[in-house]
Amino acid sequence: MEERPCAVLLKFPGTNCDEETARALEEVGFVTEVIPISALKATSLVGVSLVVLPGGFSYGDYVQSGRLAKLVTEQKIGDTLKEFRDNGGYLLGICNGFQILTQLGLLPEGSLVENASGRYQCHWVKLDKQCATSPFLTHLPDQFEFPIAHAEGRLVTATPEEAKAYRESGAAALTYTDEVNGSFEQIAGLQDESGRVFGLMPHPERFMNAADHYDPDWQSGVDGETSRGSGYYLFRSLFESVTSSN
Amino acid sequence: MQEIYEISDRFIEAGDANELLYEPLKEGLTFRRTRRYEIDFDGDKKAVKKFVKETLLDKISQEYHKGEEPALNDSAFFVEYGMKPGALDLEKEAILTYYRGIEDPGFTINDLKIRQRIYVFGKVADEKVSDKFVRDICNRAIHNWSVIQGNV
Amino acid sequence: MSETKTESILDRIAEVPADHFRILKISDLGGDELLELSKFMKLSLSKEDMLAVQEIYRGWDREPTDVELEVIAQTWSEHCKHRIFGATIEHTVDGESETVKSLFKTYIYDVSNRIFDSKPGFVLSAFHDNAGFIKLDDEQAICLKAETHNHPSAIEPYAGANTGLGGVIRDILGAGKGAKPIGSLDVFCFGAPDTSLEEMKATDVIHPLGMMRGVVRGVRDYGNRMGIPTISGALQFDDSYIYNPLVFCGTAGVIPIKDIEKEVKPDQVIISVGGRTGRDGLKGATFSSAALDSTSHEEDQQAVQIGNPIEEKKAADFVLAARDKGLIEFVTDCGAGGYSSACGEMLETCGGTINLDNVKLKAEGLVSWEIFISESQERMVLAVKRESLPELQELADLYETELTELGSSDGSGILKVTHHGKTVCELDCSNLHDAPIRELKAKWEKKTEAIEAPVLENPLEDLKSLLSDFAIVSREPIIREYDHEVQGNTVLKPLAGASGDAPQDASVVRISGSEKLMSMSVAVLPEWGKTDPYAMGAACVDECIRQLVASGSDPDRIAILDNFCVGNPENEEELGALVETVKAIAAAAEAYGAPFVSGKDSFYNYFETDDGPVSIPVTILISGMGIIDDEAHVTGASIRRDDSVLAIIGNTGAELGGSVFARQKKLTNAEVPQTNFEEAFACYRKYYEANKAGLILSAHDVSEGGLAVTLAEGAFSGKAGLEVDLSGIPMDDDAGKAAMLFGESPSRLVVEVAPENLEKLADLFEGLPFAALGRTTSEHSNLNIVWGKETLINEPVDQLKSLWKNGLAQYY
Repeated sequence: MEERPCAVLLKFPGTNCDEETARALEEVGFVTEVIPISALKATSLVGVSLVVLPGGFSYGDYVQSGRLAKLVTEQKIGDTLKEFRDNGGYLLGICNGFQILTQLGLLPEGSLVENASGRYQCHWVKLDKQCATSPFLTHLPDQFEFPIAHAEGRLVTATPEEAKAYRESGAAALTYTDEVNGSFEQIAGLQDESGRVFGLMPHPERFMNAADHYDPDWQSGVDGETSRGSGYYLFRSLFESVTSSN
Repeated sequence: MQEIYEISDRFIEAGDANELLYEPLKEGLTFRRTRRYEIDFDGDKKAVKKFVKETLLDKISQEYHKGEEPALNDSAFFVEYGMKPGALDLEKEAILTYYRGIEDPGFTINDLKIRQRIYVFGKVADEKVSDKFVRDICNRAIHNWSVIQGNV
Repeated sequence: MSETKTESILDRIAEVPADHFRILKISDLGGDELLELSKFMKLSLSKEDMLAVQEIYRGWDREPTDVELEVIAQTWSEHCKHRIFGATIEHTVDGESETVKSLFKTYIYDVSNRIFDSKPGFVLSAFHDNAGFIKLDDEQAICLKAETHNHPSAIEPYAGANTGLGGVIRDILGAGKGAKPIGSLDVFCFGAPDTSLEEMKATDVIHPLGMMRGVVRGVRDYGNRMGIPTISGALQFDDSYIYNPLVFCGTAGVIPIKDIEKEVKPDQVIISVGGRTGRDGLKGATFSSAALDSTSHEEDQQAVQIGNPIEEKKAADFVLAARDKGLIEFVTDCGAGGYSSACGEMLETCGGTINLDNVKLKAEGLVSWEIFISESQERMVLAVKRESLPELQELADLYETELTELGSSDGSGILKVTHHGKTVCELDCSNLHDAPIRELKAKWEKKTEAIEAPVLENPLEDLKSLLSDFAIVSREPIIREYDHEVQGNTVLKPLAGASGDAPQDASVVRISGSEKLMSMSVAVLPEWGKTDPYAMGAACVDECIRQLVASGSDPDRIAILDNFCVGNPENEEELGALVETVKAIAAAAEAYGAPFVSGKDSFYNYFETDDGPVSIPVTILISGMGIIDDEAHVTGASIRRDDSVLAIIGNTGAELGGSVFARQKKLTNAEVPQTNFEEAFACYRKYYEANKAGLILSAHDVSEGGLAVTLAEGAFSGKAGLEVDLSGIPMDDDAGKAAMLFGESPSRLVVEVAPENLEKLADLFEGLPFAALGRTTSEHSNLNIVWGKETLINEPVDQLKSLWKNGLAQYY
């Protein structure tokens, strides 16, 4: 029997989307293991194909979202995540996980700060795929919807030109169709140069089924399939990328 | 020894001050927030600075201002408030918990005070305007505060 | 805080064997002195209670310690013992008297038990645990609990709401051997956000807008961080809530059925996990430590408690992991009364010893009773087998929560507490159950009368002002601040429609590991109760159940909760309104076969303003949970298509009382609609059959604002225009156009069906109030309501929607 690739989900105090994200990963074919940060060692990632930083409020998001999680991760395992990436591993950060990946310097330089509205925002958004070759997005149409739920999702860069360059280079693999939170260039998701590290504010794991959509009559239209949600296709894309590169 | 760092956001524009109030004022005032960390410590000043820059500051989106002088100028007044002794300050707890986990930080924190500052800009008729901000922002059940009039 | 004043009663009677506790010589005190002592120690015990305590100690031939008195005060408190719901009440209605011996037993407990008996295997646990459980499927059960946190929220809205939600989440974690929280609800009653500051009759009261902002952010920051979707809620505004806002928080949970039963047996270890214990949980009651040592009063410690959701999240992760590993014998939360209640409950029958020296403290210097009754947040107490301790410690390390061994159970039946080598409390809890029964008087006199039906001069303007009313406007600005989709299971969300901003009735979540789903809804109608509390009680149960059924739930598997908020129970009329409400919810529950599985009451919700006391109207929140057998049955409230038929289920009466329309038009004392339980429930069962057969596209309950608002809200989905003719709907002969458009007769649903299914549906409802009402269309995007040939309302839906959508947004 073919061995299923293993995905590790890192859980910090306050991480709270680990269960549904693990469920989504299992559904597309991964074996998953949730590792609380207290138990994380450099050796924990041996034999692992994908590391996921799920959503939530690591350390309460106090000081700044993702900051303390970054510091504690570096305390625990130093540069292990970078080495993991360099050795061909995949990394996915969703919402708080995106904030942590950004803080860790695993994504193009930027910072996720308070939404322009000054509010927490929980609603669905339209997204545009800006990088057709991203291993995380291959099965998704050019435009689709995911839900968001965050207070600090506004991506800023030191200068506006940097964000523009991300948009042009495809590093900004995912953008909001409409103005959502004040993100420079309406950036919703970033990838690194390898394409194997991807972070996004929206929550694909909350849209695995068509029935998860707010409109009961929504259908994806992908491959004539009616019951799947757009999130499924993100995880499916990822799974196929991981298995084909193994 | 004490070091004071006041941190302001580079990308957050001044907002409509009426958002802070229960009843709007006609003056068209605006406001900005900053966070002020007062660190009482023994040990290496440079280590404190390193800690502040690594832990409390986001180098892309924020700037820091060291010392007593207010970080922002030209306000009509500012309200400085924070959790009073005995009231749980979650950010402070999170920072101290992390600090305690650092091997050999190079300094000892004796006390950390976190204060929010709200700088209000615009023309105000008199000093009573700031009372309205205090009334609607601060709560004596958990906060203590001070108001500094004029800061030009 | 100076203690140099005249000697207190405590100083006179205290014997101080050690500096951490006292023995209080109460056996020779008279009633007035006992009451003085109770007041001084803030025990909230009446003279009768204190005399009863004195009798108990005379029987034991000894004097109590301060710790023991505090424990008894907690055990007998309104909060824990529901003294008013257990009181003997002389109740007079319109001149006729009756005696009610315990509202709780008569109308809640006995009624529910009869329903349990008629539905064997449905309710798996009720009234004795932290939350009641109903069976979901063969493997899992679900539970729901709601609480109020009114007074703390009035003082500090953010912290009050924060700890309110944190507390009810712990109730779920402490239900059975630990249930997993899967959804929260919140219901708030405030003064109107546009209240002018000059109108407020008291200083030191937080303005309603500040109250609303603070409370919403408090719920947001706790619920979102805990990763529990906040899926259901309601808002009410009334001037009487300016001074005493109501903040209801509720949480639902799921548990494997095998983990519901729990028992403490001898030789188990009692452990605490989560936060540390401090003076912060004493709510300012630090008088006594000051009396012990006049230098130790700590004014600064009197801050309001603030919740720490991450502390609770870590404890929650621990409890659920420990439960799954089978390491928990008993678990309960630390709420009111702190360790004294939690350990008291655990050791009530088994008995055991708690050593306060083991308790991890936030600060030094707490005396025995402070440690034992401190209500510091985020603590759970467990009973475990000694051999499980190492594995539990590993889990605590893994999830970074603190585990403390407090003591052990011993089978003695005695609750013993030691501190610094001395026994500071030794109580046989079985002696403490019979708190004196209070005797109260209540009365109610009919306040309503038949009024002449008002003439409608401009129905469109009436509809517009209803859609802009705070009672009806969209809660969207609040809902958006809550994560209502975390856990990835929220199928029916609080907002729906083509652009995800149209209203929904019930909310529905999937349950991992089950084919079945849970629905949740709330109903609160304080305006009705001002003049007809019986009608309010009946309609609240009806509305809650109707919303659950509309969403696809089985009407025969619904359980509900009653949460009361009352002003002054010593006021006969306020208590009378309560009795009438309780009678109504009991009658409704019995008729619908929907048992109460948990409930809570909050009294003394009044405030002394400069113009005298202002009480809240008797307010009942009915919240309910239902079971949906199949995801295909889930039905939303939004119009879905442009070629479907609209039909109405239920009868429209002439009464306008209690309606938002009546309040706007100042029709005081108009008759309030009553609920016809039998007819309503027959309709709900038929609806369920129709929905299972796939005949229903959408269904929206008719509630605040009446039929016109219901239709408008359905159309807010943005999918079609509506053409409706009211001339053929089932109604009473005397129901005028105002009642048809804006009356709030209960038990009505507007359903959307495909044209080809209308006949089947009509056949099903043969003999019941049912009629086709109109159609949806793509020809225009108006709400067009006519009466025969007369046009009542014809207006673009967009225009109406913007009023509704922005009504609150401009203030929030």
